[in-house]
Amino acid sequence: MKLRDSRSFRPLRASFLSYKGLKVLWVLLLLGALLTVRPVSAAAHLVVSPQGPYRTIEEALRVAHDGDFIEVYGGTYHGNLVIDKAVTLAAAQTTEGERPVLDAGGVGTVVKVNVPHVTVRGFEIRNSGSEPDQDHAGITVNAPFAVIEQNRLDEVLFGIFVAQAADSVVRDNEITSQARFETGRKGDAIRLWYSPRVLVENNHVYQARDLVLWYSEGVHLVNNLIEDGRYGVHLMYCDNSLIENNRLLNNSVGIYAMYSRQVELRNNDLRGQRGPSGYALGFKDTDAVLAQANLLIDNRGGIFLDGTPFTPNSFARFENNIIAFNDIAVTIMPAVKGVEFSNNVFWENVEQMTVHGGGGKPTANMWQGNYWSDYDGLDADGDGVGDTPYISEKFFENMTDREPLLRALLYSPSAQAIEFAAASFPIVKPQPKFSDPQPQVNLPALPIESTRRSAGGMILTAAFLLALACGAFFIAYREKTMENKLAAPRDAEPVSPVQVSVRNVTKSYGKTAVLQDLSFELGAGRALALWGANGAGKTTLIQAMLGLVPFEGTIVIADQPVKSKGKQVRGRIGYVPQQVMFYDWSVQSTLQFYARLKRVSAARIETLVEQMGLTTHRAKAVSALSGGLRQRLALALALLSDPPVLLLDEPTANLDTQARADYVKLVGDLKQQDKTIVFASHRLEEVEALADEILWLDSNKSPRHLNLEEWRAQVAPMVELTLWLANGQRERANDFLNAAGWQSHLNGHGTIVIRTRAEQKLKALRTLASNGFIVDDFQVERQSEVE
Amino acid sequence: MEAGLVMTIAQRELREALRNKWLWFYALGFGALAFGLAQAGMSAAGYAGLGGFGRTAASLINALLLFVPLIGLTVGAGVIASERERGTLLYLLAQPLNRAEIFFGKAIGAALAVIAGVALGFGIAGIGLATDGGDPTVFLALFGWAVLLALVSLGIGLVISALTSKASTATGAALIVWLVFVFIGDLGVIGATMTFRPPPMGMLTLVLINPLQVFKLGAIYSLRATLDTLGAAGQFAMHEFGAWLPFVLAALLLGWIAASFGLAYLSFAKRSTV
Repeated sequence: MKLRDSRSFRPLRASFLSYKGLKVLWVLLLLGALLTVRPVSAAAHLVVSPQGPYRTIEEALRVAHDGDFIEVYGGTYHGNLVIDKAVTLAAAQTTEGERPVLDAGGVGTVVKVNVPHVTVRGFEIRNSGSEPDQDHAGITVNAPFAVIEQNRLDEVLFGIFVAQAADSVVRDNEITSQARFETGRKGDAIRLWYSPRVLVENNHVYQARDLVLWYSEGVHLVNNLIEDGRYGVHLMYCDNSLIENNRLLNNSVGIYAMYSRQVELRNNDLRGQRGPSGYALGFKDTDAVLAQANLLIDNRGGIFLDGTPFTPNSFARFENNIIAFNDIAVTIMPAVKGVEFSNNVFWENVEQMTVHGGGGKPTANMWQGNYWSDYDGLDADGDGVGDTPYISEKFFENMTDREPLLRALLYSPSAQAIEFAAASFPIVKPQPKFSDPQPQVNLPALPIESTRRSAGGMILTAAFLLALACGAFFIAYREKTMENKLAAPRDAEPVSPVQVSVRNVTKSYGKTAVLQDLSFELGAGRALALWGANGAGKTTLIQAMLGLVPFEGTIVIADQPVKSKGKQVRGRIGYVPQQVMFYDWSVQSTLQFYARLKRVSAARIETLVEQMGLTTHRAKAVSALSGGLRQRLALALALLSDPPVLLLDEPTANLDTQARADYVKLVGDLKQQDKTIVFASHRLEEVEALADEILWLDSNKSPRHLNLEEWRAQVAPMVELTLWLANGQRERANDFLNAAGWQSHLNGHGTIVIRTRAEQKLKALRTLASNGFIVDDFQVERQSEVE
Repeated sequence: MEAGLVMTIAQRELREALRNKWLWFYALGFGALAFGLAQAGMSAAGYAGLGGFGRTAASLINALLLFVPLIGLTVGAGVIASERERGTLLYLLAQPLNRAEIFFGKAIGAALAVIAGVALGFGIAGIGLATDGGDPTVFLALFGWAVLLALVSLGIGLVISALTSKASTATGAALIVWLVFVFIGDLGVIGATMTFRPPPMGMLTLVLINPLQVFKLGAIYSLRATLDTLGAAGQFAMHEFGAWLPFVLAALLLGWIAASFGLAYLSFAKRSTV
């Protein structure tokens, strides 16, 4: 381009004329004419700067001739410049690097080139108008052989509009559109219109609409960086185009060719094209396509083919491309045929190939020698080619091909399950979409720069998460200091004469009434035995007193109504169930846990451990304790908060004789300490030892509130006869007794227990003796008849 | 409700839950699987596993969808039902506590255990990813989504637990619920889609009913800041909610957590028997 050549010729202008005589005049005129007339081929060098000699570009253009060089120094130049002379308009090279600014103030096009052989170089071009129907642009070139280079175009609707300007060059420009508009409303960064043989080279385009080429043959796009636009490159009727070494990042669509022939794409790098039709490469009705060694990474779609190749004898070849991490590597319309895919790498695409809408013939296109990351065949002979074809036959993929909405379920176990089921049951095996008979098994070196980060960040993160998991153990097993959590000591409350008041309590389970209109009162230091058969309502009454089951009527414990102050009531009750189920902890941990719930001090634990005879057992697991010790522990827990009322629900039911006796003594001592005790029992001696009054519950009768004498008179005594027999006779004796009509059973202590009326106990012994059984020892316990 | 009592119950529950072998089985299972996937997915290309969203990342999400709900559901199902079956719940209820203190103490303890389990799984997976580099921010975001899903599952497990009397019944019911959320629900969505061909909004609604799918959407968004990979429904979600999408998804999961924990509490508190 000779237009860029410049000369150091400096024009000399006559500054004065003097008249000293005709001869002299003519000599001078001749000399002046010789000096001021320049050669026809020479170019003038005009300087524009805020200090002159030309203060505006328009001034310089007015005096310039074709071929002149206009050098523009830094500063802002307003107006809409029209270049109608074949000049080079270039920014001056200054040490400050300041670009001259061409600013249209938001009106019209900033620079229009209307004649051939114009160069515009090195400007900052901004603030065009924004009317899309008038094609307001940074630079509009309307004549061939233009060179637009090294400019920065900002806040212009269109960037560079090359219309009917064949053989032009657009090079080294930085172009972005008007930021205030969304992408579709912006203008194209570069638009070619009937401009063949244009070179678009080394431009950086970002946040504009498209780079679109219309009706322009022989276009060459090379080394451009195109980001964050709509169509990275859009070819329309552009035959013989070569697109190579470009990088297209995060556009809606990468390179889309329509109605063109002989389109060649080489070594382009396309990543993150993720618009609604986010194909890296798309072809519609295009012939003679050759795509080689392109990188198509992380796009919604890698390659899209519709009507390509367009004519029967044409071709579309994809060779040595790397197609990785795309949602769908290749999308083909059902009618597409004759496409060749060879030696490409299909790596980690979610779906390798789809026929849009389903259908299509598996053999319509040729797949040969590609690498497939999901190939599961072998290469037994080590020739680098899989021994079995790669066959794409995924059931869920076929479903999404037919119904694309189902892609919403991608990455779900259900999708995997469907594939698994289809693979396991060939009857539902899908039709293969295609097959590659000679898949490569060795992954070629990928020219993908790793997104590798320093391992430190992840190691720290992993360590943090593992520490979090360990922290849970710390929290779980941290021992709190109870002294800081103690409940405020209760004020010395006046002891109410009535500690337990039950009025008109009725409780039913469904239609079965368990408690009916029950009323009684119990004073401090008194003990009430709940007496009655199983199912009579003893446990239900205790649970109602604890506020654990709903009931009708009123229960007041230590002046607190159960229904509205359940939590406070439970704070004034020590409760021992028939068999406490403890957590699998040690005695000490168990005591500490409940002490924390009741907010009592460690000193109180010490007192109770000693009082209950648990000192030597505190380190043992609760599960290792005998039944008697477990019930002692339960009583210790019940007494932690030194409650005025104790509720004991058959606490000795599972204890042996000695343990039971010890337990009854302990409870007796508590009664001496003015505890109010309500206890359920089947054992006569317990009732006689502890009870001041008895509430006899019977599901068929009204409850009877009796004193000890009244109760004794009504209870028919029963006994439990515990027998120790000679070795080997126990089971046989038990069978014999049961067969003879006695209530007998084996117990866990190596004995037989016979339950009978008191006057029948000797008969039982005689019966055994007369039938050859040797009774080594026996023991008698009294019980009630209502058990 | 006294915070000190709640935390005492929570500590006990945490201790109990940490002894649940299933919690560690699932957590270690997930961790080992994720570790293996990360190694296998990255080794060939030298490509950071979560940086390139492909089948490996999809497999990680699949692993999370399988294991995380199992952790939450099995722990949750055991919280109340097993204590009820053992008889320890009766004794606990007889203490000076109200039911809210017991329930929320147990729920907090179980939640801490579940978070610990998920953290262990992610910690192991993180070591696998660290060898090839990885984005800690994305990884922590994924952990956050997994914690939300675990808590949703825990809440549903608590509902089951509050309504059942036996641990085995509760565990069985939890597994059925897991199957429904993981497989059967999706199969229903597939059937409905093939039959009625709903618009993208309808499809998105169908998907968002299932908290596992909500998690999946959140996880994918964390990995790549868009849902367009999920087709029209994903694009519709992006179009409708834009940058608010992760907050909408998180709010949905938080709604599930609030609803499930609330329902579980009501079931526990209103039960007329122990």
